Amino acid sequence: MPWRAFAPGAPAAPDPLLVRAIRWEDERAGLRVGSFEVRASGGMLVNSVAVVEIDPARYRFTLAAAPGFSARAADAWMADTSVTAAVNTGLFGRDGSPQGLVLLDGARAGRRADWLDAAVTIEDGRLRLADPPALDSLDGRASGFQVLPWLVRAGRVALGVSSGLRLSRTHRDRRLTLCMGGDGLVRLLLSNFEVFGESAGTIPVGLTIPEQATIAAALGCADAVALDGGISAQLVVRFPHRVRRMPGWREVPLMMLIRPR
Amino acid sequence: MTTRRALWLAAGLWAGFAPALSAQVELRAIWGTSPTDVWVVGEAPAALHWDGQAWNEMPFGLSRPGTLNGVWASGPRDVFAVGAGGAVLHFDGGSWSRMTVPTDRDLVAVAGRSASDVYALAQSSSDREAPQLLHYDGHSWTATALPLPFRANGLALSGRDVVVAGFAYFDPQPRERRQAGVVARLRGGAWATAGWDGQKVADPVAGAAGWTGVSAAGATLLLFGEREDGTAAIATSSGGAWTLVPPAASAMSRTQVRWVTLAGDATPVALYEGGGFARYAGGSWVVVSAQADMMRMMYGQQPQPGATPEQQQQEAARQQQLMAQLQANPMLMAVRMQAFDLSRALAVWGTSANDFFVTTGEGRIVHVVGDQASIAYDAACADPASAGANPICQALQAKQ
Repeated sequence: MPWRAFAPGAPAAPDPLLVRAIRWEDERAGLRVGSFEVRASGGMLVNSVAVVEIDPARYRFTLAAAPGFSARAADAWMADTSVTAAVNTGLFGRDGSPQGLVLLDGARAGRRADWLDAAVTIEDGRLRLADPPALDSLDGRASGFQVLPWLVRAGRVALGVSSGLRLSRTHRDRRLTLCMGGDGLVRLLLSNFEVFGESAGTIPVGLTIPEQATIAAALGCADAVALDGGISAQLVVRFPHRVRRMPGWREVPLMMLIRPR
Repeated sequence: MTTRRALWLAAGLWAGFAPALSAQVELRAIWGTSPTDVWVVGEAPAALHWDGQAWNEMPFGLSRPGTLNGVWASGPRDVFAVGAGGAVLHFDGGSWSRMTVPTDRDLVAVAGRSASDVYALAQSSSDREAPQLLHYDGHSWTATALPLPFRANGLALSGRDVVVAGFAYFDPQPRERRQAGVVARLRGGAWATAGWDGQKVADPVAGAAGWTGVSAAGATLLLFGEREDGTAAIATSSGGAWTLVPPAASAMSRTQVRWVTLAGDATPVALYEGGGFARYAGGSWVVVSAQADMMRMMYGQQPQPGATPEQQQQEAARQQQLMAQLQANPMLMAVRMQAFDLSRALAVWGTSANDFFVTTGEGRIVHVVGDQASIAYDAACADPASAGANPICQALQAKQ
């Protein structure tokens, strides 16, 4: 029975099959974590994908960096008990430094990179996905960073239509997606989320970027971009009864932190 | 209890909802010293021991650790188990005790030659750290760093050599990321690497895939892993260069290969998510699947090339007996089909390719003898409340 394949320009809408496939595992007010499995490469490749669903009316986002943009694991940020969740941004260079322009509470670091075709902005704790020039017109205390590529834009699969043309469409890796849902919720999706956790001993061969875009569209993302994936991708969420850790294997210099409003 | 669900991407298939799984207790490692002394560890609160008759729980007691990833024994009174946070436990035939080791890193594997020559592999916590090899000389553990940073997944001993396999993650150019296999071999006190050497992929075979595991049988070594496109890669070596082994070409092998290892007789055994296994012999894979098993039962045994009339008669009699059992107890059919479900296989050990155990992420141990698979242990049956209505537990109970 057909599910779906990559279709540039296709409309994004919640797919009932995908919605049913998500198994919700942990929940707190305004935030929950679940997972589902997808098969790619003709069924040969199983990927577990974690979903973190956040109500922005109850949680605010901030951008955080250690002094000197020194690298740190997401778990290290959880020492601050006011932090509910931490997730890496992207992208990061070979030396670990953030790529493109970074605005950290109004302070500029780096320069705008033409090849990074999307930006994440944070104003008053709220996220927005925009074109990179938007970083120049933010309020004085705002934060933001550049990413690539657009996966879904204005409710349609964007990859292959307006962005991402320089990226491999066949390379498989762990993939991290930032999704602004049509329902107003923010979702983070991380494929192969278990690889560097307690279930050691596997390889981070994961999804292609077109498959990442297909899933984002099927979740009903009105806008979605990729954050840094691979071994940099890391996500930690605190619940009253436990901390869900989806660690990466590389410490990174820039993190998004999520706190209750 | 939970359900497994999967969506098929691109291939245009929806897999639907799989049946409910049994307890989600990952049994991650297995090792035996003989057909009557086999050990299993993982997330269970006890090690499991096979004495040739039954699987018995050997509780950790006060030494109860977190998740255990590896087990090795020199005999029934000398068992080592390793796991998260630098946990090393030793069983002396009476109880488990925790050993002092010079690391708090996660230990992913353990292997040895004798009670005073045991190695454990400590994972690196980031891509800038090299893995560590721990050695126990019968008195204490020491640690040495491997020659380059990589993700180490497997450990095997071959003769006097120690072999560690895994993968490296690197950026050959800006905006391009790659993975390559790494094989590090300790021989005569010096390390040599194959595959990714820290700068480049120096050996295209050893570097062809990220290696999930390495196994040894005598001088033969086998690597199993995944290429960047998600396809399985298998390579063998008999002390010299690595050679790629083509995966099985059958409809079943289109599903994901879960694990490939060397059985005690040096025969490669591959486990398939699609439900079955394959043996590599004479330059080709011989696939055994539940479907084939059922077909044989329903339509009779086809003459096997090279089989003697006596062997064919024996096989026919065995199939008739099996069919009679199934007719008497149709539930047995479902149990047998589940025995072939190796989709969550995590580890394999056996004296030969015709007699091996498989542990799974569902808390099961499957015993394969010849072309038959049966569930030998199921953690779900430990709960009497749910075991009563569980056909697998009923079948296990009937065996005892």
